[in-house]
Amino acid sequence: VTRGARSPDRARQHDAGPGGDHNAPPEHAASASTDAASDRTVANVDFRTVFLTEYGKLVRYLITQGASPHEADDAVQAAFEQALPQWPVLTHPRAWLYRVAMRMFLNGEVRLRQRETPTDDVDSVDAATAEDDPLAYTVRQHLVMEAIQALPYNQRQVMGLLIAEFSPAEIAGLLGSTDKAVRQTLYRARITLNEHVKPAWKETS
Amino acid sequence: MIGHNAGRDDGHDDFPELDALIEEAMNGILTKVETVFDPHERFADLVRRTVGPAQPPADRTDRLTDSAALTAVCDQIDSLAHFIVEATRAAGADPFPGSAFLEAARQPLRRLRAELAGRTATREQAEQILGQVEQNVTHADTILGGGLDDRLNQLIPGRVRSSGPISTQLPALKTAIARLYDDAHDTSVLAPSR
Repeated sequence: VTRGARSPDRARQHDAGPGGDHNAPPEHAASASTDAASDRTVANVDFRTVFLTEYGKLVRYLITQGASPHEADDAVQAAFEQALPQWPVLTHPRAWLYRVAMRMFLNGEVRLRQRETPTDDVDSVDAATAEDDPLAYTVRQHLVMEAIQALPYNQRQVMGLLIAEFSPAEIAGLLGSTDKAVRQTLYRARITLNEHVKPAWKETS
Repeated sequence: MIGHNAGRDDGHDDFPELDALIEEAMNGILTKVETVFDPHERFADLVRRTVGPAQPPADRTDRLTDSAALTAVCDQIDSLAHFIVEATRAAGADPFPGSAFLEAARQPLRRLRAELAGRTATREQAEQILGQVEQNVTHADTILGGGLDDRLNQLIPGRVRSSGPISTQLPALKTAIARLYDDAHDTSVLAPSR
């Protein structure tokens, strides 16, 4: 994952830093009212940039948390739709989106379901058209995804956020934890992943 | 990605090989996600849903009726997509046979809507995408031995009463889309909205 690009969160001028109130109207709300047209333009560009940059990563993040691809897509769409009207006052839009999308998936309209896998019952069915697995992972991708999904909840969550390019400090802010606790959780997650992924990965070569 | 010195407290990263494997797999997955759920397509759809359809150019006022028809078709697609969501949700943790195909119909439905809303699909493309929707619904019906309408009526009777059975919604949508292109007097692409 490319890490050179500046995070959209960080690119915002009035970033209050990890751990801040992500939803409270920030200090730049005043400038939004005094120079509304200009700010709206900036906010719109920013929204589009974040949307295009983060959409896929958000979907992938929710999949690592157990959502099906379609559930993840639904939740991410809903999160962006909810973000749009309040975009100018979100101080940490990226963190906000991850939190809201996750909440949409866990508590909202989309829930993890036992998904049916088309079987041989219908010989004429072309399984590819079912798009039950629209992403059609490779063996290795499936291996890694499954290993992450099998982690305990807190490990899975911080690992997913790390893959989404949040730093441990940012993850701590997002989850209301401490940097040290996040690093410890990540360490435990990696020990587990190391045990499961590496040997199996080699078998696939 | 995983290079945030996120290992032990001393910041030392003990898992460079693991990180490389995860990064490789996750990059590949991201590429697939962005291919299947195209962010540009999703963004265009979000803008259309929240801002509304763009006004037609002044020199194309003859297409005003097309815009109204287009909106109506998009509403029909939304209704059908919501119908499917309700059905799969009603099935809950105990999905009925064929429900995976029914749910899979939503993705081409969304794509169809985005293509129509953005006026980027040729008639042939629109028909092809709709064909994918029909194919998935037909598969679901086949698995149920032709009993999809009955099953849906058991699951979401109110919705079926208000929207009609899915077996009639799809042909109606097909007709509406065909009319859209007929009315546009255009056999290739609907006029760009802006």
